[in-house]
Amino acid sequence: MSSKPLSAERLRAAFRTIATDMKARSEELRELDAACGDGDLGITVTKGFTAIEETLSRLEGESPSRSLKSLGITFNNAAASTFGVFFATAFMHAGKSVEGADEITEEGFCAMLASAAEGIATRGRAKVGDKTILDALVPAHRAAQEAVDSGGTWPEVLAAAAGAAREGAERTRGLEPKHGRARWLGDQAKETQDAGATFVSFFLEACLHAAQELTKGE
Amino acid sequence: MKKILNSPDAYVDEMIEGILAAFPGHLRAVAASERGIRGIVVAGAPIEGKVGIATGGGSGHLPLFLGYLGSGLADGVAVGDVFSSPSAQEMLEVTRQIDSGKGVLYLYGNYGGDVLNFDMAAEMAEAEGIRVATALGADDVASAPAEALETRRGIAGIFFAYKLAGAKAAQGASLEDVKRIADAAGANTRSMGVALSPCTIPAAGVPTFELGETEMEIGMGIHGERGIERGPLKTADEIVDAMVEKVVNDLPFAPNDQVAVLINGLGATAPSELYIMYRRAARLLESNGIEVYRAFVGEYATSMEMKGASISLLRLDAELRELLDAPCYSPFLLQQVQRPAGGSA
Repeated sequence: MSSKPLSAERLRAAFRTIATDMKARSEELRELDAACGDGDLGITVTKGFTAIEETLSRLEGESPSRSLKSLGITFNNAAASTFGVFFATAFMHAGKSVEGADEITEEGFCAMLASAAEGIATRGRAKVGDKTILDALVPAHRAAQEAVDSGGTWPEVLAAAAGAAREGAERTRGLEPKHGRARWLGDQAKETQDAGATFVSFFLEACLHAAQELTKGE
Repeated sequence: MKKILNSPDAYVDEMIEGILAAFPGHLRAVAASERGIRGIVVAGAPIEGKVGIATGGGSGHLPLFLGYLGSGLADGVAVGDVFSSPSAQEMLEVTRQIDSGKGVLYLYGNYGGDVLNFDMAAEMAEAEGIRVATALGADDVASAPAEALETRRGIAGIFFAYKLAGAKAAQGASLEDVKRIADAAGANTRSMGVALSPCTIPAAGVPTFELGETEMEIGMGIHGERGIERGPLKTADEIVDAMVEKVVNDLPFAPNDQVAVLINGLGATAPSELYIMYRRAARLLESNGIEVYRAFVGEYATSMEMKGASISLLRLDAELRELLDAPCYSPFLLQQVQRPAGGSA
């Protein structure tokens, strides 16, 4: 896999792969969300990523920062929902963290994850252990940063992030939900893996896949 | 479910069409979103030299929120589905259309979905160079203890915030000053409701909760949120005594305070009953040494066909009193809201 920093153009190309992969997993997310939410996460993901696909060509010439912010807003506009707001929040904060950069490095990617987590924690007044997106996103950031600190490049950093997110999502099984509709849904919601955390896990796996695809094209 | 509607799915769309048709020249629709027309502004928006005031929330509470658009009141509203939050984008569109460069105040009730979406809208608006400040209605004493003031729900008392902040904005005040007044209105308002029957969301088709034929629930929220005491229906005087005591003790309102009083019908309570309530409230306040400056009795924040009412008290000072008396206009406010010259009542 390439170790080149990610230009805006390659970032947008990566999102084509990410969008395809995420739409393919929308049914899995719908099922999880039906058990611990109102069951609309599948539709949200499909609508949101379809809108992202349609927007990508219009972002030609935009910086990585502007692209990320635009994609976040596009997602929430197409799939207005509580999840949509958190998705947009994450992307707007991630975009802000790489403002001014023409390319995203592995270090920049860590800053994006940290910023996204901070934005979600503030907006949602949540923390790790509450059974939310953060239970996957925060470990993912930590693992990515450790990989960077040990001299890792994109392959190691993305793999570390995706792996930690997957474990974090699995660890939400059995956690008492502290937010959202899950709070009122009783035992079934408690036993099920959190849909938001699972989304993060799937998303980072899609990022890893996208990076591999980018390299093939080079 | 026995309502006058064509189809539950068209409930909000048709309500909006009817309102726009009823008051041509007063209101203007914002371009349709995926859900249809979900943003409405006053016909003259943006008004030069004035802070814009945006409000919003779920449908089903008229005259809240749409009814408070007008001169000396708010400028724009994001309209949600029944008891649902509008989207961030819908609020952003409204924001763009009411900003004349002096910024926009978001003034709405403290409900999770609305806060989430409107905070998102504010962030997007700020990114476009529009300054946004936020003030929330959180007057429902029954929804949380005094130690957790900022978590309380907003109910009919937000009427006072619209009136006062709207008047301040009409004076050409800055965004900071308009927010200060909205916050002061909120900080000096306390309310409590009582429900005698549930209501039905058209799309759901069944009542939002059960309440026995001879039961009432004190402290119930405007979406049917659990109150503090469910029991057999008491007399009007007993109900008012219980609610006024809790409201007065909460701020607390003290002897020699001057207040405005709002007795609000939730949609299916006869106006005569609201006046029976006011009779008791007025006597109680007098015996507590609290002076009533003005009374407002009618429907200011409903829950479709819920039977019940709420009582709100606003503690006044010279500044707030002047803003309360300032003229305002909205075709929804059928009651005289401007104190007539000559000083009678």
